[in-house]
Amino acid sequence: MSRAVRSPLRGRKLYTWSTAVAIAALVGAAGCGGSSGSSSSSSSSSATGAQKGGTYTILANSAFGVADPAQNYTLQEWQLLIDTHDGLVQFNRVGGTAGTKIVPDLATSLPQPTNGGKTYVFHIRKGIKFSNGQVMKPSDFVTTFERQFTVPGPTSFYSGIIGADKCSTKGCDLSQGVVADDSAYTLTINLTAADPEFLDKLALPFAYVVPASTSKKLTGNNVPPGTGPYMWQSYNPNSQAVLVRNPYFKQWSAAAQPTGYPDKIIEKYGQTISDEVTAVENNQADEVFDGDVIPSDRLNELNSAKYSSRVHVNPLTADWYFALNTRTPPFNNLKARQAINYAADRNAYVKIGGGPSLAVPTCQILPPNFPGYKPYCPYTAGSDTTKWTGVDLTKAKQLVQQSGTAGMKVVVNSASDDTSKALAQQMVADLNKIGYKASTQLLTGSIQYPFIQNSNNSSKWNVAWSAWYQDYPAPSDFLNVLTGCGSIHPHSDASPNIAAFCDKSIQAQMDKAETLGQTNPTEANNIWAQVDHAMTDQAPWVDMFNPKQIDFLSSRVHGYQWNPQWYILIDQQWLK
Amino acid sequence: MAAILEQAEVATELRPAIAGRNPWLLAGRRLWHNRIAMAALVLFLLIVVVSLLAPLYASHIAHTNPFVNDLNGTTIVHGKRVPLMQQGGGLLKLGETPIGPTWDVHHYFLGADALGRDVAARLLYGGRSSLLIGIGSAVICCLFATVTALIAGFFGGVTDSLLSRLMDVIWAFPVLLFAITVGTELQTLPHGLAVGPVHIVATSLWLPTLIIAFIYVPYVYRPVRGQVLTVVHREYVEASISQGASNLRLLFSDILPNVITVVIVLLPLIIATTILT
Repeated sequence: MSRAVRSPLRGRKLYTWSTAVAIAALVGAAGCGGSSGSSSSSSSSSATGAQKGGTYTILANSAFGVADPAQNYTLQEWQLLIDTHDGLVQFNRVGGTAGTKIVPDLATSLPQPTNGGKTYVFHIRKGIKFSNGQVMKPSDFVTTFERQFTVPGPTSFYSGIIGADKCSTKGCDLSQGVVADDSAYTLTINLTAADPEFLDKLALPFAYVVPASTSKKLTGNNVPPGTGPYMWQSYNPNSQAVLVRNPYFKQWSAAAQPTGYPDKIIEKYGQTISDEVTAVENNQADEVFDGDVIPSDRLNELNSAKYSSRVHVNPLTADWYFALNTRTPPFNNLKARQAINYAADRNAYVKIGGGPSLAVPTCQILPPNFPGYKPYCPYTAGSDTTKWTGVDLTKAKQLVQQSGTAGMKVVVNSASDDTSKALAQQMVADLNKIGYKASTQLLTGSIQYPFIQNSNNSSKWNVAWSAWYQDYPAPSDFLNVLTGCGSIHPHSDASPNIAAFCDKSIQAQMDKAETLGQTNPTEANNIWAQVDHAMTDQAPWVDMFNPKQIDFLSSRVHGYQWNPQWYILIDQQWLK
Repeated sequence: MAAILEQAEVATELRPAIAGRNPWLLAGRRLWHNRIAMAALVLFLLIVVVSLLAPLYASHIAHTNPFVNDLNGTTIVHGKRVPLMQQGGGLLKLGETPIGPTWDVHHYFLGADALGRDVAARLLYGGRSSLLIGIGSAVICCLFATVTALIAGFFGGVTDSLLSRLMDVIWAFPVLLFAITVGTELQTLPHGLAVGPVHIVATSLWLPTLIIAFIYVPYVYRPVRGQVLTVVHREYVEASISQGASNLRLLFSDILPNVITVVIVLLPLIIATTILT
């Protein structure tokens, strides 16, 4: 998942970028809904005292763009789509590490792939209706998958389906790849090659079923009917989105799609984040959208005894980093890249990110508690290479001299909001300390991300800020998507390998790990760990920190749970 | 009766001639006697002097480098060494708060900003940039607008139409949006702005100065052009034409002195606007 930026088609975005969200208690360590110690009472997933009813109000600084689920790639809409729509499978709708488990949703069970891992046969539940009263049938899924190609948007998740290679916005025929039998109520998906992550991809909202009659073109701000406990009553990006109960919903799986507690969910747009905080403090709303970064001058209030019990801090499987442009000098030189990694003051970056409660310094790509993660940081003072402890300017300057790039001009590109600008300024300071002549290039957030991805602009910057949040818990979602050779798309605004780094031997290891993942996940994760370390050694990035997320709620919200995939489970909270 | 008139004439001839007053002296005297204006002038000059002394303050009094981040730095408050960035307290310890005003000119007088830099020193340096860009862009704007308005108003016809329509196009854009768009485009040029022999790097203050000057040209152009259109039909201009004066002489000797008052009135207003922009 991409970073929190306003650009639409860039992976999952939080629509705020300085996500200084922290969580003190690691989900894994807590083994439960996960929350800071200040809010243990509301972090439990127990439904004691739970009651249905009320209107749950979320305040977000801005809307999430176009609402068509085939295109929208933002966490903001996904947190609502999981309540209104369903797919064949789903992430377990509970907090904690259990929330990363895939469970059957509209499928009656998880199929074992056959035909060398290329064929999945799903048995579809009967008697489920869309919010418009239509009965859901297997053939509805054919339209759903075809729309993924006819509507402009991310297509890579399902490009392995037979027939997908011939699909485009002009038309798509997946009759060989997605075979529906409405009489037997089965759905067969045929892939061109085995994909151990395919069930994860099916759990993403792109694959949530819509009626077969849904237009194959972008539906704009009209969300097609779904099968979830809620339905979209309205969505106006200039004011609010309203979800109400789906009258046709009957719970079939508490793990995949439990009945929600609030009767209505409203997400309002347009206030400043500071005003959102004030409103939630005063219980005039229930949640500051967790993708909106709470300004640092408001964080101190949240530390107070009056509000701290309503604050939940959780670790994110995410990276904040600077990509190094490997196309042009000086960072087409390995020693130069390693030099800035030794010089980068990660302590300062953490302070800009909100302090040690909200950010943890890192040198590597995979985040903690992620499959394949083994701590590794060679770019530190001292001999312990499992964690970063300080800069090593002597080593950094030596490497700069050895690279022959001393004195070169370096342009540091970043977004123009306060936090990103501060990070860029710190990077400039770090570069200048080791002998470069650095300067900042600040662009507004919605422009900056596509700008740095497009190779047409590669001569204009040398270092670029970015961030990445998981799409699903798989190492390839970080390593292959962000540093794989296949993720470089010249002249495109969607080329997530921003550094344009390609190492064929590391790529071969990634391909091996992906293939092995289906039959031997443990060995695959070992290979992913080696890939992560090898990539860190090649230093296409300066990785700064893994952020944490803050959820700030009103005093009437109970039943808070943190799911590693969807973050706050909105409809599983009740109001009292 | 004739005797009375003759006596009056003699008295007039004997009376000493009253010397004419220089208009600049008259204006200066009026200003001197206007206390509010003098107070504002003194304040303005104080701000300019203090801003110009920013390097002196930063290096010799505060002993800080206001352009370098110092997130891990410390300073002395009431004899104790304290970190510039202080972690939040309470149960959650969220956030990092920069130190507030110490009211000690030697140690972060107005506190630190979010990157640990001395706010007081940066304020003074910021004053220099504001004055430089504000006054510079206003002067360039007025200069360019005056010349353009003179040409348009004097020659009229197609020249006037073309220039006025160009100004209308520039005026049609929302000022700040236009400035941001142009600024973003120029800032992303890899080698800065190069026009013939003139080369401006992307980080130069000349870029914002020129951009701001450019977007406010129509605001000065219109009133000056209007004044030119009035003056160009005056008798003294016609007299100069009949005497064979060249266009250049007409523009700068007859017309410009009579429209410069408009520019003088507009200049301080534009300075204020450009500083705000």
